[in-house]
Amino acid sequence: MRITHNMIHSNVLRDIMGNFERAAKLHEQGSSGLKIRYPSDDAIVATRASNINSRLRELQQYQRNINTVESTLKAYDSTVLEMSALTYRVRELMVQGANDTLTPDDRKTIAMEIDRIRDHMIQLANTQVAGNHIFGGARADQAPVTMDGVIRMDPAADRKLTTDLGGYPFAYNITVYEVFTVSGNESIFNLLENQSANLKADNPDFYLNDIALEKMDRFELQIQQMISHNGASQNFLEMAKNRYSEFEQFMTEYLSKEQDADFLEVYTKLTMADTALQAALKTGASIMLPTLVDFMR
Amino acid sequence: MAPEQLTPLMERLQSLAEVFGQYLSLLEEKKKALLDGDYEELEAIVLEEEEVSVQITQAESKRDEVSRSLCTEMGLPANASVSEIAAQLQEKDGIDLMVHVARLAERLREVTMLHLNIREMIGFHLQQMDFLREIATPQTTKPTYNPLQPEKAKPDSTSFKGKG
Repeated sequence: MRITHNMIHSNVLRDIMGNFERAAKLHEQGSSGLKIRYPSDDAIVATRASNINSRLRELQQYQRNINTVESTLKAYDSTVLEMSALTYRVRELMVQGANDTLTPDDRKTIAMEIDRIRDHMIQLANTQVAGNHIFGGARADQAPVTMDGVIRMDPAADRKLTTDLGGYPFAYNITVYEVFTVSGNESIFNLLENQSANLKADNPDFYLNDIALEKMDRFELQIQQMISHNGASQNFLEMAKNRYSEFEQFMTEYLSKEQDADFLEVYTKLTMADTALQAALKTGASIMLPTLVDFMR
Repeated sequence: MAPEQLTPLMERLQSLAEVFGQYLSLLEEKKKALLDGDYEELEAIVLEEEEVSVQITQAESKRDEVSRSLCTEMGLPANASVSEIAAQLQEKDGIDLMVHVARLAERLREVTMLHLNIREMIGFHLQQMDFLREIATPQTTKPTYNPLQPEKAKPDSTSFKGKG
C-alpha cells in the first residue's frame, strides 16, 4: 500500500482531534467532578447513574410523602390530647351530676358544660390539615360531622388511606367511625346529648347509668388505641425518614464517585442485613402461646 | 377458705408478667435497632429474644401445670379459663386473681402492639432492601432500544407510584 501525503495528514489530524477531545473531556470532569458525562464514556456506569438519578427523584418524592403524612399525624396527636382531657371532664361531670344534693339549677349548669364539650368534640372531629379533614377517610374534602353532631361521612369512605413509601403502602389515617362511635351507630355526640338532656330533665333514673359509663369506657379505649396507633405510625415514619436520608446520601456519593466497588460492598451488606431481618421476623412469631390465650379468655 | 393452689397460680401469673416485661424491653431495643438501621445490633437482639422466648414457654408451662392442679382442687374442668375459675372463688380472692390477670393482660397487649409495629417495620426494611438491591446488582448488559419490542426497551424502569 502506498502511503500518500494526504493519508499522513489525515492520520495526524485525527490524532490531534483525538487528543483535543480527551483534553476537553478531562476539562469537563474537572469542572463537573463527574467521570461520566455522556453515555458513550462508560455505557454501563452511565446507565446506572441515570437509574440512580431517577431513583433519587423518587426518594425525594417519598420524603415529601412522609412530610405530608407527618403533619396529619401531628394533628391527630394534638386532637387526641384534647379529646382525652375532654373525656376525663365528661366522666367527672357525669358522676357529679348524679349527686343527690344537687339542685335542678346545678344540674342545668352541668348540662350546659356537657353541651359545650360536645360542641368542642364536633370541632375536633372536623379538624383539617391543609383543607383535608383528618377523620374524613376517603372523603377528606367533606366535614365528617355536621354542626349538630350527626356523622354524615359515607360509610364507603370509611377506609384506610395509604401513602407510597418506595412501594410500601403505608396506612396512616383514622376515621370518624373508628373513634367517635360508642355503640353501633351511636356516636359520642349522641351520648353527650342524651346525658345533657337527662340532667336538664332532672330525672334521677337517668343521671348516671352503667350503660352510659360503659360507652364512655369504650370511647376512652378508642382514644387509647388512637394514641397507640399514632405513636406506632410516627415511629414508622421516623424509620422511613432515616432510611431515605441514608439512601440519598449513598446515592449522591455514588453519583460523585462512580465506583462499582462501592456497590459490591453494598450488595454484601444488603445480603447480611436481609438475613438479620428474616431472622428478626421469625422470632417472636409464636410468643403468644395457645394455652395462655385460652386461659385468659 | 381459698384453694391451696390459688397463691401459686398468682405467683406464676406474676412470673409470666415479669418475663413478658423482659421481652417487652427487648422489643423496644429491637424497634430502636430498626429505627437506626443497625442490623448487627438487630442480630444480637434476636439471639436474646430466642432465650427469653424459651423462658416464656417454661413459665407458661408451669402456669398451666398449677392452673390444672387448681382446677382439679376446685372440681372444674382442667382447662377452665381464668374467668371460670374467678367465678367460683370468694369475692376477695376472685378480685386478687383478676388483678394479676389484668396486669399480665396489659403486658400482653403492649407486647402484641409492639410486635405488630415491628413486623410492619421489618416489612418496610425488606421492601427497601429490594429497592437498593435493584440498584446495586451489577449490570452486565446495557439496555438498548428495540424497535420491534418497544415495551422492552427499558427493562429496569418501573412506573412511579408516588403521590403528587
